[in-house]
Amino acid sequence: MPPVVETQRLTKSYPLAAETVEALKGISLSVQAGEMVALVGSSGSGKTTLLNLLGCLDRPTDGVIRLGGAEVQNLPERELADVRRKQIGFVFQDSALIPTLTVLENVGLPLTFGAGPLSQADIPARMLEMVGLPDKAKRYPAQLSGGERQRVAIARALVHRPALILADEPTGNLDSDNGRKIFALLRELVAKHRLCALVATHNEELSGLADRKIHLRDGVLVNGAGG
Amino acid sequence: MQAIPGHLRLATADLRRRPLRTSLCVLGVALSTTLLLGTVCLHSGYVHALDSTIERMGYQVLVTAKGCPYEAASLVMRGGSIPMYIDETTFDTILQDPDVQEATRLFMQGMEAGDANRLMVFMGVDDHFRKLKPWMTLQRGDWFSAGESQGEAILGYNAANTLGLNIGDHLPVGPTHRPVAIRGVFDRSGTQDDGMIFLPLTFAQELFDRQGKLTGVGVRLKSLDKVQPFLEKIFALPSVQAVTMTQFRSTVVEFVATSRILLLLSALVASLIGALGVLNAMTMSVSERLREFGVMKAVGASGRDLFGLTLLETGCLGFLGAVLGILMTSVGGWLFEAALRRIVPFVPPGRLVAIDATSVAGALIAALLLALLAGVYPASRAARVRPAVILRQTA
Repeated sequence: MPPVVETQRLTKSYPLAAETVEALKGISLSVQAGEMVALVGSSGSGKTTLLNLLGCLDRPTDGVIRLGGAEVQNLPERELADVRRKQIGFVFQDSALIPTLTVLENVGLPLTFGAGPLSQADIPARMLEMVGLPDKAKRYPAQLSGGERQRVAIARALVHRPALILADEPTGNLDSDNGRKIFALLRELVAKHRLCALVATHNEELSGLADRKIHLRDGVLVNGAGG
Repeated sequence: MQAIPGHLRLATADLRRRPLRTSLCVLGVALSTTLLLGTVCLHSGYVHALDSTIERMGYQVLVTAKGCPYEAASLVMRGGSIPMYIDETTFDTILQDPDVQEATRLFMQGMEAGDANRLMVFMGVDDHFRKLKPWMTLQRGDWFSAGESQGEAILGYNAANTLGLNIGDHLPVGPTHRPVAIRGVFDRSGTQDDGMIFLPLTFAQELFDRQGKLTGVGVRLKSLDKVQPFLEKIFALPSVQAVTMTQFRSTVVEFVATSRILLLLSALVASLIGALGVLNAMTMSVSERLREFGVMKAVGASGRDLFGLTLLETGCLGFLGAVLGILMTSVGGWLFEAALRRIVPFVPPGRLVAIDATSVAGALIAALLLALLAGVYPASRAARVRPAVILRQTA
């Protein structure tokens, strides 16, 4: 069984004014199904850049990314969108829900773009139940607390049953109690559905709840590459 | 509740988020649609009403005193005083012409009604009038009882309703307010005749002190081929001239067509402004939602999805604007007609803004196409969103 996600010598540089900034410098890692990995590092260490590359939202300058054993770094944009909609679920720091859609519609949004079968219209409601918000289906994001919004974002990330969950500071906007709950929920769902999750965080306490920690410093993997 | 939002739901959700912007944008499209549809329908309605009026005149040539023949023709068609006269002997000359099938003497006078600023139009006619207009049937009552000199009147359908008079009632007419008995009421004809008060010709001439004078002679020829030779004969007569209804129609239609070009230009400018309104509103909307588009891409939307979604949103604006514009044309058409009748010297009776299915479909398609065209730039901007950049910038 190939790893869900694997990288080799992954590099990403950005032009910044007259200079070139190397955000990632030769990252090689691999994560298996059922594994929750905490991506730890200070601000600017390259966590978000790495998640964007793994999530096919951006292209590496050099190196290889394999998802489910297949190389994706050179795929055309349309196929990258296909990879995103079928294999990847995102959870953002601020939940990034669409304010004009109800909670239930937000959860079902990936299915609108063909991420899953439209015939299974009951899945979003089941996902809401799974994250403990069955009674909030008709509410709008503005009517929810920060913790509730993040639960909805997790339900949206899981609605199309992706193999890989990428969460960028999902507890960054929450108090410590809510942060622990969200992290625990992610942990529980990853184990239950045998998903693979990479969760970026700078909270050392929460990262301890993951199966493994990967430390990034100035774009370089310090330890925890796995594989 | 739908768990999976459809593309239409996504498109309209944002339109509802900014109701003022959406309303103004829809109103812009609606106004341009109104102007465009109104212009197209005004032209076809006007020409149709004009044709219908001319057809029901009953004659192809109008002979009048020398002056502007088109002014005389328009006065005869709409009703009013014609200040120039021809001798009654002209009628006898015309009637004897071998090309003439039928002719009628016309003596038209208008005067203000005593109780309001309303014009009462009197038409002195003889028996030939009925031969030229066999469709002018009496709804009730009878034709003039004894010749053409009696103090009797037959009312057009609308005149009877407006004046509230019935058979046997008396109506004061002319400068001396001589009472005449109502002898009959015509059926509705759908022409200006409905508003007139018909008097026996000789009585009308005496009433207005114009004995032996006519304001015109309506002539129906045996064949349309005879029009040109007949006109040449008329022009040979002293102090008279002739205008054919075809010439009159061409002149009016030409005038209307010229006005239509100006109106169409205004409509095109309005459409351009409406499209710019859509472009502006959608560009603002897309700029405000770049993060949302980034998120949508992250959850699986392709550039093509976002292009289609934004274009669908502009399509909704175009559709709503077009529907509102069509409604506004239907309602505003009546008001516009009323205003036009007050301003323009000759306006034929009947609906001038005639809205038909083809024009409505055309206006709908034009508004949709313009809106979609205006939506291409914002849609391509939405489609080009790079989620990694946008999410990093707005995190």
